[in-house]
Amino acid sequence: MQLLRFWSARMRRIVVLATFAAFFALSIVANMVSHASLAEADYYHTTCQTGNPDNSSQLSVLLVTAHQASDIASRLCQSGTISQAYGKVEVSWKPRTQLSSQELITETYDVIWSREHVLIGLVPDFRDYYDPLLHFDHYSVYWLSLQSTPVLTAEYFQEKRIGVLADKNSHTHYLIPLQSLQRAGIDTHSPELIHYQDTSTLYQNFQSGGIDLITGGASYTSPTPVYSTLIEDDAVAASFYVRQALDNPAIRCELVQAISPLKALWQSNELHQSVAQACP
Amino acid sequence: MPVTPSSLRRHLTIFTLALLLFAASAIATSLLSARWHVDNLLNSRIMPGLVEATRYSLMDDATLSTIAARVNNELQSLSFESWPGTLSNCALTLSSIEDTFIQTDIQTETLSRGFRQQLSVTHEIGQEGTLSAAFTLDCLIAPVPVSIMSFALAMMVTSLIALLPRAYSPQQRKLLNILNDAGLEWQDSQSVLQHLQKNDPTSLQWYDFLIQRLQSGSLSVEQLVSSANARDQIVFHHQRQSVSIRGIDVALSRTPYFYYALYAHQRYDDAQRNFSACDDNGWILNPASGRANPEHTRLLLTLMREHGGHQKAIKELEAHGVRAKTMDQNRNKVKEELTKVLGEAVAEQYLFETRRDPRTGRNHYRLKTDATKIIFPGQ
Repeated sequence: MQLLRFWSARMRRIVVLATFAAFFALSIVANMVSHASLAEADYYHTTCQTGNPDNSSQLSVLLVTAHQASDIASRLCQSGTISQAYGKVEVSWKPRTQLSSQELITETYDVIWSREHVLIGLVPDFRDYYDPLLHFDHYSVYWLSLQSTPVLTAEYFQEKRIGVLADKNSHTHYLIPLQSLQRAGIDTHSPELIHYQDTSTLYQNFQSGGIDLITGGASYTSPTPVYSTLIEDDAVAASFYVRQALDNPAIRCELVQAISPLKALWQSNELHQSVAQACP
Repeated sequence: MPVTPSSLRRHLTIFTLALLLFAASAIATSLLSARWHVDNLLNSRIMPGLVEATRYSLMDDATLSTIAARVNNELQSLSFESWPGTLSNCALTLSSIEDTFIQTDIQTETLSRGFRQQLSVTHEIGQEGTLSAAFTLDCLIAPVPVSIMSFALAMMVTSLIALLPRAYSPQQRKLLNILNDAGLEWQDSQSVLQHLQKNDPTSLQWYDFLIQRLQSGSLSVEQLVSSANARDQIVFHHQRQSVSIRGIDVALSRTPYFYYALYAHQRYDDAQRNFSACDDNGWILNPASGRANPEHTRLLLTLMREHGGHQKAIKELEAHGVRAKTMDQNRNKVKEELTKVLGEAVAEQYLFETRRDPRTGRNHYRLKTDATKIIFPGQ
């Protein structure tokens, strides 16, 4: 009580403000969001229901890109043949580097878009599980430069920065350029290889001058004039494989029809479509 | 502390202010902390997932909207937890990837009533690339938890503030310190303070006077306490020729005391007789020479004879009656003695005031003190 003799107006004001501040802090702490929950999920698949949703079986298609993924899914879901056998269609564009040998062995996907050497690399007797369904052949790959026409000489490539994909299974953006350099007798250590995680960053950096050379297909549309030198005109564009157990020809034909529009990706007139299946 | 309309109004203001402040802080805090959590989720899970999903995808609008639809579908599972449950419903939607605006069909009408926050993220891909995206976070505030919470907190803070004792003025703190140093119990010093807390100028002067006296050592703590408790009165003790003003005794010289008492009686008796409705009474005119007022002479003689006045003064009175010169001298003496003890400011209130008589040119004098404050013990 004796201490109250120091109880001045200023001190009272300080205590009032401190009380206010303490409660203000309490209000802030109490109202803070303590936890935010979000279900674990990936963003690389899309699903749809067929006309027969009671059927519990699912048709799974693995693509490389989300390009046309929802169109493919809806084409399959609307198909009468597919509806008879499946209740649900899932189209995934999981990054191709994440495909595991376990998924191949357990036949997780009914249709897989990949290159044979990659799949064999994962499971050597892959062909015991999957049949080829569709090939897109004969597309061309070029060296592209914004500065001058690429010449396959050591002098030209000296001190050049070449953009490639970090994904070493990429044909267009890793294997073909490296093979091209090797065949021309250019030491692949002399030009600088810069690795990119995805194609759009690769293209962005090419356009902005961050790299001197990239490889690309005829479909690469550049906003500025680009110099090109053909590397290969018979590259295998894409291959689709189907589970052997999925042997219903009608369903296989529906699958071919659903994925065929993807050939527009290679945009080449002389693109061959080889179908292992005889479809109407 | 007594409840007065002004204190009620003040506390109501504090309460309203606190209520608004707490409600606003609750809303702002929940929104901002939700945003913070979303930022974390964006950087740790959503953006990496988006990078993964767009990796080999040509960035045409149809592809982007396929991915965005998938993202927005998954983002519906977002929920927030806070203790009072301030956020009732939140929706996070992807609104653009790079510079491509995404059309979404999950714009429900509830969201247009909520608070919208825009979040832009640029996510690093490897060492060279970036992926940028913009999201909107729409949140609805649950009114009931916010109201209850803010109301409860505002009530608590207001009652705590209301329970705080009133602040002491610098003067009061000075007095409390002095009283404390003098060894007074806290409760006693509080009551002293309370008695001195009347805010009229007279009391303040008295209060200054008491502190001065106490500090100079001429007033004991007991005297202070009794004076603080005493009413504003001047008590005339004829027997010992002293007056007691607000409990402080002032001993006066004998003859001046009786003159002082004469004026006091005049003031008191006039009021008793209800001489006049207004307060214009108690005046004593300085007599012309040789024309003493017999009534005043008789009263003064009675007082002096009964209470041991000086024989010399009594004889003089018997011979000449009350004379103006003697009255002037004794009034001055009273003034001198009272001022010496009480100081000018305080003494002045218990001394004389004057009025000039326009007819005779002589002066009327009377005690300034209100008649009701004049006390004669035993009368």
